[in-house]
Amino acid sequence: MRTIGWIAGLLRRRPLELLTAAVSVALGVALVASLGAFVQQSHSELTVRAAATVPVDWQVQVTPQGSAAGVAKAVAAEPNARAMKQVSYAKVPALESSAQGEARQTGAAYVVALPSDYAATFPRELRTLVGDSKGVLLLQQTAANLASTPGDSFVVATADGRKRLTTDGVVEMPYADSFFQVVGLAPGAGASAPPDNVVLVPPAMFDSIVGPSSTVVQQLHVSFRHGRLPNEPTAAALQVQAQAKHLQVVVAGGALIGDNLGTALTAAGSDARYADLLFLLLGLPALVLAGVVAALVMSLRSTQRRREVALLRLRGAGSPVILRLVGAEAILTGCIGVLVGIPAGALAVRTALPSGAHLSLPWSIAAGLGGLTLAVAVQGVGALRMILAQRSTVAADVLRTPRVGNPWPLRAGLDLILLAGAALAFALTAHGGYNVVVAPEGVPLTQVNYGALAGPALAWPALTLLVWRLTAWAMGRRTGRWSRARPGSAPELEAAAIRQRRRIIARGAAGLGASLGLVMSTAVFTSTYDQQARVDVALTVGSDVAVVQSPASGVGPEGVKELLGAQGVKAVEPLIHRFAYVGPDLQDIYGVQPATFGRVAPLQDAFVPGSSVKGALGKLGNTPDGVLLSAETLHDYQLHPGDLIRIRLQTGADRAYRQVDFHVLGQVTEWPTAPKDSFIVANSDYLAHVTGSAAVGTFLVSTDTPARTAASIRASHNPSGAQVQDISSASDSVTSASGLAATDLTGLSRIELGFGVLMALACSGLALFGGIIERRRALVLLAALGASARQRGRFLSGEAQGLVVCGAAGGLVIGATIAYMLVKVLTGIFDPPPAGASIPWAFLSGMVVVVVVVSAVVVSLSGRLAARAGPSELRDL
Amino acid sequence: MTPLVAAESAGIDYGVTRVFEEIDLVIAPGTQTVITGRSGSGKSTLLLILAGLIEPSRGAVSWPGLSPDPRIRRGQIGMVFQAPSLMPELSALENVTLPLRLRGTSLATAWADSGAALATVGAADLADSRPAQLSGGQQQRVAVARVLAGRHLLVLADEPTGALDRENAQQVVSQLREAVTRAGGALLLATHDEEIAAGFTARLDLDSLAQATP
Repeated sequence: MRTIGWIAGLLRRRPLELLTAAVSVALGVALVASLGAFVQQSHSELTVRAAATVPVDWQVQVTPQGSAAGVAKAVAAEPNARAMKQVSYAKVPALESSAQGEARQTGAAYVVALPSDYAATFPRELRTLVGDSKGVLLLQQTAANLASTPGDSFVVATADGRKRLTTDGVVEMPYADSFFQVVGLAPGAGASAPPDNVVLVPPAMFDSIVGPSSTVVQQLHVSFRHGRLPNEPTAAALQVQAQAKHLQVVVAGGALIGDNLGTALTAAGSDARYADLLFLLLGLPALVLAGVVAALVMSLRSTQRRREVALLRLRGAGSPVILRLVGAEAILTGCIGVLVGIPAGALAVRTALPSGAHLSLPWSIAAGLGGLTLAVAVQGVGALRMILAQRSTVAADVLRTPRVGNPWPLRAGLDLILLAGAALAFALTAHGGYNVVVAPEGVPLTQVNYGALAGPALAWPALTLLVWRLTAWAMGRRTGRWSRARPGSAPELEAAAIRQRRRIIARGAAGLGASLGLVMSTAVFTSTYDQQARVDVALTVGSDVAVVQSPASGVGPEGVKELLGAQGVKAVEPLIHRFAYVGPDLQDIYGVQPATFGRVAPLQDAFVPGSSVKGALGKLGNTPDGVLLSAETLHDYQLHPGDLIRIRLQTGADRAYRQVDFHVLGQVTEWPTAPKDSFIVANSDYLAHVTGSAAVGTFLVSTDTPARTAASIRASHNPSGAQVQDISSASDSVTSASGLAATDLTGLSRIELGFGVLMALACSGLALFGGIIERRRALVLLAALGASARQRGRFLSGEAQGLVVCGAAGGLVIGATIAYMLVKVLTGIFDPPPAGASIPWAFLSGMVVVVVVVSAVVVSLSGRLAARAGPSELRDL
Repeated sequence: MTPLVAAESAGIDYGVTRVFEEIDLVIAPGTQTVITGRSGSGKSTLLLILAGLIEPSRGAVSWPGLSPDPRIRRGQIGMVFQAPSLMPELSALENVTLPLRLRGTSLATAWADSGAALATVGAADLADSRPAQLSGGQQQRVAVARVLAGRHLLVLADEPTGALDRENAQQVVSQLREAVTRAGGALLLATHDEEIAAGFTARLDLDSLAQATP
């Protein structure tokens, strides 16, 4: 009964304090719940995206012991099987053509039998470039080798004879390496270099073309319903792999399974580690900070509570009664916090995360329990300390001054110890090449090197405590000697008050510094990620707009003129693309005009290690036969700048591969439209000269309005029927090296930044508000002694200035340090790796301005409120 | 002689509770008046009204002998509160210098006057102590020193001897009376201690005022 009366009294007389404490709990609960939703959503998104990128889920290869019909029956019975198509292929010695009266012959080729509806069932596997999508189709490279266009004829040479066919269309097989994989090897090990020469034919023609002596590979290509996969990529991978094993048991050696889906999901499982890392490095500090802010806000009531405890004691209440009453209040605070926090978390998820994301039940329960525990622990421990102190009386409390000494962690030098530990851990991580997610040799699964996280993990508390130490040190040395002397000002007394309150100011500054540090590090990390994601999209497309010519079009550099007439075009550059052999390796070689290529290409100095974009292109311009090579090529073939390199290119009228001499200029890691591994960059004029063809592969277009320009080109500036891509349409589909999409990080950073701003404002605003309320009696006394509002304000503003200035400066140091460490430690998440961090100055400046303005408003309003000297306040003096 | 403060039919209510009825009071320089009455009779409230810190519910208060500027007037009025009322963050000496500095007194003068005032009340050795380190009596002596250093024209003392023993109480009252005499000002001292009240020739008894009012 007494407890209910106490709670009713609190609700009636102190609703604001109760609500403030509950809101601080709600903030933490909402943060935990929304971060949990991020973790779940990002894992689920990775599963969905990984499954969607697989062109064919299973390639079930029928063995000599099995029968295609029997295996097909078993596959059809598999749960969640959606579609199945039979594919056959055989290797033949050569393809021949006689285009323009000139005989051409390729090396070994694959003849593949595909059902007519194959492309409809597995749309990612085939893309029609020219001509019909059915009938006899040639792979892009094969068509180039044979100089064959739709309507031309060519010959398939086999051991059983020669068969003449007519080309109906030219296609691209983006996943040819997977399509022609050696089925039955370890997961992920079966993919091989795609064949150069492939002919796709209807099943009815297949037998008559390849003849009886050819070895025919029979496969069933299978797709599953992905909607029924578990959310967690690793769990999904295990389920699919178990299903594959089950099928192998059912067919009893009748088939081998190329489990592309299982391999992709396993890889996604390691990508999920990056999402976990992001949670650990960005989310965990926010959670800790949310707990600290909640504790700080709840402790604002400690002065009032001390008086309440003293009065309860005066009325004969024993310690158990006091604890019961405080406990009831804490539970009430916690319950209100949870009831407000969970819907707030749902709102944050809805606002910050992609549609479809929702709160996870386990995380929500954990958030609720955490909030309740925090409320009970902070308030209960506070009350317990008051009871144990046995000295608190109302009278003694009036003149109680805050403690001025440093807390024990600072006395023990914990900040310096942690800082040294952080520096050491970071140096060791740097020594190891910042490899956080590692794949040990011979182990298919990746592992997280959690030791690499020690640097930032230790730097957070170290820097926060250091801000506390330095602020307390600076405030302890305030004398007011340097303040401007004004009539009626008492700078030495204001400084004396600040010296006595230095621990409180330092605590607030440390909280503000940590909050701003969180916001800044998240903002810098996100900004850098976004910058690199934009570069990645630009590199994938090639420029703002890319006009990709079909192999047979033969459009030369003169095509630039046509494109310059399209809407919004600023510059156009031709990019020649050929294939070249470096030793036995077939690589892409790109020809550019070095003097002008930089106008359209998204190049960064980080792409040319040891040089700059300007320097590398300048050198290329001055060396007609110069080439830039990938690190892999330089390393594998022991090449150095200045070395002669003989590359085999298709030259002459017969398009045969012949040696051409080049000179190595240096290394290049990324290039517009180039693959990730090995490629070559050369002078376009030289390349055109030695190959005898100036045909352009892609025209790169610079524009401020990519979508509009692309539409304009498609509509009226595309006589050759080229493919037109633009950067804005492509950005939705690009993922980073870690497998995370830009949307993943955007969601997390939105949650982080939103809560970080709230916590920074809570730290500055509420700490100042609490300090002012605590000094209410002193303010009333100042008023009674004749201090004007301005004079009273100076006593408060000195404290506010100390807190905000030290907190903001500390926040900048913490943010800059943590951001630097995050960008370095999580290098693997960026694609391409950044040359440096991108700092969103406008956002950060705005953030500091908001904190300063809010602090000023809080000091001004609460100062006026607190100094309002009514009869009861004055009689209490 | 122009009175320092004059109350005309001043009365005050706290909510529905009427603290005291209409009071007419004129305090001239050189006068020393004691205000007596039981607890809750309105002694403290009356002093706060006369200090201009709160407005009367009825009637009016004027300060013809003091500055019309309320900020300057606050400096001309010194108050000793029932509780010691010191700034907890400041030392005893700093507490005494506080009103002087707020009035624009130079630091050197403020320190000299404050040191002398502390010596007058026998608290010179407490100059560097914080209020929390002082006993109730020591705190009250520092609060009295703050008024003495201020050389105020009007000193309003609300039960200034509550925390003091008999000997110290008489001593503090004497010091306050000497200080206002030196400054040519006036003293209004509220107390329920009959022995102290007996030392004053002018007395305002709020109990009898209440009985006289219908």
